[in-house]
Amino acid sequence: MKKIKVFTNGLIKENPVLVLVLGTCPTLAMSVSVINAIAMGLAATAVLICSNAVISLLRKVIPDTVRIPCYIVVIAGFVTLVQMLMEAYLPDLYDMLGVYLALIVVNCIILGRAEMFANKHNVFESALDGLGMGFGFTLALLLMATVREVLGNASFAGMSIGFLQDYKIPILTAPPGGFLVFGCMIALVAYLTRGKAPIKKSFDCEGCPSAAFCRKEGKACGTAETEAK
Amino acid sequence: MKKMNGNVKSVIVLTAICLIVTALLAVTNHFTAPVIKDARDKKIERSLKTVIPEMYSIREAVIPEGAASTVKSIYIVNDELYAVVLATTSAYSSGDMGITVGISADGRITGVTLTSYFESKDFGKDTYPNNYIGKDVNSYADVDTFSGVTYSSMAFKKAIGDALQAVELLKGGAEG
Repeated sequence: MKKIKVFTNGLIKENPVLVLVLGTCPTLAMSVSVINAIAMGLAATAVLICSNAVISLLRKVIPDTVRIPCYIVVIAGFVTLVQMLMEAYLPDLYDMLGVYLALIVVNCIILGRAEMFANKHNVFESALDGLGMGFGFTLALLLMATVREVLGNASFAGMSIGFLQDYKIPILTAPPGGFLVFGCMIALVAYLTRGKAPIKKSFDCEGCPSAAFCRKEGKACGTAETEAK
Repeated sequence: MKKMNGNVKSVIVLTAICLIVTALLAVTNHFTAPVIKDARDKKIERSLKTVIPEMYSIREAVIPEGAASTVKSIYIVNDELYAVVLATTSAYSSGDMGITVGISADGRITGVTLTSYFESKDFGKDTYPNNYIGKDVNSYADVDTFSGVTYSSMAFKKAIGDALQAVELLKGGAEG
């Protein structure tokens, strides 16, 4: 049951895009068309599953002081791997995704899940979390792309929708339209998940990623010594 | 001493992870590099057929001295036409813009196609490249840049000029 929850959390309750508001840049850029959205979502999902699994596997080996560089190396390695495979076997899709494929390296969802989940859980749970978060990301992208492509371009996955041709809303395919749809979707998900979504941590000691270090060094957060650092 | 051991361990772990990832990528590259090269060659071949549809013979010419660095290869098609493959970037470009230009024996553009572009998705897929058809080294600059993708269309225009100039140099060299 717990395993299923790990997977389903990423779909709606902790959706990385619409609830945690991570990975906004690729979401806005790649939600212009449904095909781009699915391709981007699946590429990010593959990287998420693999990086989460490897980081979880190495969590007891990686020292705290170099954990972020280690995560970045692992994530960048998987992204480059996906890039090579996609350029070799899916060149049209590779061209479509353009620079955003390489930018998966700095996608906050992946680094976020490595830091928040993979380095605290076992390999299977981490891979499952990656799968759930990846599907959540793909789902959010797909929903946004559907709205933007259908209403903005009167087409779905490149197929023209005849009766909508005279009622296009071109701004939806432009960046302002992306923000507009994004905002509406966040509002809708907030309404649907009211009371169930995770409460965002405040910017206090508990919300700080270095809190554990401070405690180890015997320093209290917020003291002059800590702040001077 | 304990802190130093910790630092040494950090360096060793990070280095080991970097080496393993590099090895994994090297193995992947070994298998995908030939496939990627084939895919790129096919893309260039398709672009050559787009700019010069009736192609009977093709041979690669040596890029003349003085040609711009954007000119990556020049092909002589049917012994009288030229196809120039270019790779250029704009001020904000995140990747190379690939362009193939077909040029007739009298130095006029017969076709232009954009083979790769990593910025705004619509540029080059519409009729904009067709505006250059029929232009020569003296008239290509008359084509306006494209609103909304000004830097990309400026780089595009400059690359077209580079292609025309390279063919002029090639013809000049052949005549000389």
